[in-house]
Amino acid sequence: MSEAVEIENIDVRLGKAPILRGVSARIHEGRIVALLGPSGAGKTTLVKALMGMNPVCNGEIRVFGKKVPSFEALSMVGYMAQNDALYEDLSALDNLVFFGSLCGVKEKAAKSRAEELLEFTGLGADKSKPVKKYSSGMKRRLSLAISLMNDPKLLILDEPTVGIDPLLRIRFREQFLRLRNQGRTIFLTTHVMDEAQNCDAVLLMREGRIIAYGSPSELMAGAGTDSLEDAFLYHIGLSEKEA
Amino acid sequence: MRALYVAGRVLKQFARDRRTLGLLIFAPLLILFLAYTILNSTIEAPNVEQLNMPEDMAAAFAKEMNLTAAAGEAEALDDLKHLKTDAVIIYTEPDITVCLEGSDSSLTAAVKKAVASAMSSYVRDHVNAEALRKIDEQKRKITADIDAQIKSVQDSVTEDIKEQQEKIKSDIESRMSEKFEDMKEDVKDKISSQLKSALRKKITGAVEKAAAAQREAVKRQLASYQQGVMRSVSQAAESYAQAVRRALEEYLSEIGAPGGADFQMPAFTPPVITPPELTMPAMKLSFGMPSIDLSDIEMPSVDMPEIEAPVIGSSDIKVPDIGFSVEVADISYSYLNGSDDMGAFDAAAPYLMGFFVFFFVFIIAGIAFLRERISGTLERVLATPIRRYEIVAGYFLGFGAFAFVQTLLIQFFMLYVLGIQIKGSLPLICAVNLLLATGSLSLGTFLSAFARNEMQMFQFIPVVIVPQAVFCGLFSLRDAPGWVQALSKLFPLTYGARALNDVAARGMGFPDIAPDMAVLAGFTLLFLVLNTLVLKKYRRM
Repeated sequence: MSEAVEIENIDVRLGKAPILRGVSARIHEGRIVALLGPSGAGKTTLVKALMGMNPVCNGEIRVFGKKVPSFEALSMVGYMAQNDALYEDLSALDNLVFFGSLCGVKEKAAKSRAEELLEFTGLGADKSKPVKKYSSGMKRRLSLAISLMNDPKLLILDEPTVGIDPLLRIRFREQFLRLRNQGRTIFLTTHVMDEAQNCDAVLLMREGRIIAYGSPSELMAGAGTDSLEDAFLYHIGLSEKEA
Repeated sequence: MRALYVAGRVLKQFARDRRTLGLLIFAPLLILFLAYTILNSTIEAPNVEQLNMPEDMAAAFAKEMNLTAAAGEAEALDDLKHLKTDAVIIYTEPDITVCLEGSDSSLTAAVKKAVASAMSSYVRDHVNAEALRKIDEQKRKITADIDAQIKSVQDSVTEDIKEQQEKIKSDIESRMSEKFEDMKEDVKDKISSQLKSALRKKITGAVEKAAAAQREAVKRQLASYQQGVMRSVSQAAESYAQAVRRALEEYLSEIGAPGGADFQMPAFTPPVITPPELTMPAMKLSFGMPSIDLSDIEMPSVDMPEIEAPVIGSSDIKVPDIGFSVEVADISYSYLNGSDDMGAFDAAAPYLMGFFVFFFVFIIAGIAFLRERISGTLERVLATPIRRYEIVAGYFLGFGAFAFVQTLLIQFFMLYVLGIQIKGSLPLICAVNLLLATGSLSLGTFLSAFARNEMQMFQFIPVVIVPQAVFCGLFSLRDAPGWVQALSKLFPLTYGARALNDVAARGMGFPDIAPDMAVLAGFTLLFLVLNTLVLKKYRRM
């Protein structure tokens, strides 16, 4: 099994403050991997480092073997930011086509793909509405659709389920599974244990470090508990002991 | 290619954002219209109260303003204070004091202009006459004065001459008479001495002759007497010697002495007889000289010619004509560009056009780009394989297209609705405006990198926009301190506004404004490059 993402011992500083310290991780292709950690753990920083937006001082990141930052790596990645980054005055379709064309999708192809994705995310009926009239859930869905416009092999989703209702959360989960089944790798961040539970693998992060990595069951077994939350707490204690 | 998508999206976004669209398109037009209305409305005639003005002056002033006579100084100033009038003019011969309210500069300027033009016509009509009258009076006075002076000089000269004449006459007379006396004496002397010497010569000659003759006679008598004496003496001596000899011979013969011949007779020397000295009797000649009388010779009289002092008639002196008249210059203005009825707005129009293009594009482009930053769409766009310069270029193109429309709109509004005259070429103005707009949008998008929110973007207005507006040439910088002029060179608007003014008001062509356009283009390029570099903050490549 090849690696979608290889993170090798990276340090990330924002300004002078060190945010990530010696982070290493591998994300296998075709898996849904959750980056789990409390707010302020450095999840978004790691995601941005993956996208080439944050400078990496030490170590190296590779996406499908391509060193980050590079345009090749970017073209294989679909990205959904923590906040919906949408053009509110434009319609959903316009947003999709625009981002699609930035990713190099030809206009005609972009349109049909946009229609497809609108159907996929259940926005087909509202495709011509300006985004400012969308609810926050619809915006999340549109953001997901945008991230899929370039038919990425790797989806990087920063807190995709924040602020959405449980029903939509379930729909998202289904969609993630469908996308994985299409052969895509999904790397998402969350601070909700529950959500991580349904992933193939979980990276536990705290204070800029990865403190544990494994499937939810492995992590729970390692900690001798049957809840991911307890496992998380266990690994926190372990990491503190190490320190 | 991606830049075109960005540009297309920017335009699409604009099309959907009615509010921004309205602001960008109608706000400049509205402001321009308001500025036009205010700046081009001129105060026809200020309301003025006057105090103590002579009638003719008041008449001259009334032509230029609504002039009323004030009840009194205090009342007039009170009216002014309560803005019932625009000015109070107090005449205190020979000065005019204009009291102004002063808080409204356009009103102040209107009053000053009216006063100046009233004064000018007053001076022309009245002061000129007054001046001429005074000059005439002065002229007459001078003539009289000169006349009197001439007369007095003449009198004194005449007197002087007379005196001098008198003096000369007496001098000559006295000297002549002295000389005459001398001459007389001399003549007398000469005559007498000559006479005397002639007489004496004659007399002496005669006397001498007589004396000589007498002396000769005497001498002859004496000589003959002497001869006679001598002869008698020598005869006597001879006879005596003979007698002696005969006696001796006889004696010898008697004695019968031997030989008688050997005997030497003793030498006989006759006695020497000295004739008596003849003394001439002294002759005394005395004769009287005749006396010469010259007393009857008269001294001739000296006739002096009468010397006349020249008469200088006062009528002979011409007082030169001064030929003075007061000419109040008539001022007429001729304009290389513009005309007399060019209002403040017309003059400011090219600058206002430039400023509004610059300002609105700056604000809208800056805020639009800022919004991309804040909303995260910029980051999201950078998560695609787009190049940084493509984003900048896309924005540039999108806003450029929009600025083009806006520029055309502003331009046509000013031209056809507000009736601003444009001397130069319209396409050239459009080109400058467009260049200015690109400079502004590149500056706006660049500066938006340093703002966290819209409020901070607006904070750039007093720092970046206002100084440019103030220093762009709308207000003349000719006498501004050097640092202000140097500062104005750092602003894109300075070059844009100048180029616009050169074309619109002064009718210059492309070659004249090419340097300014080049600088503008340089600014644009600089800000575009800086913007591209600043985007590195969002993505490391």
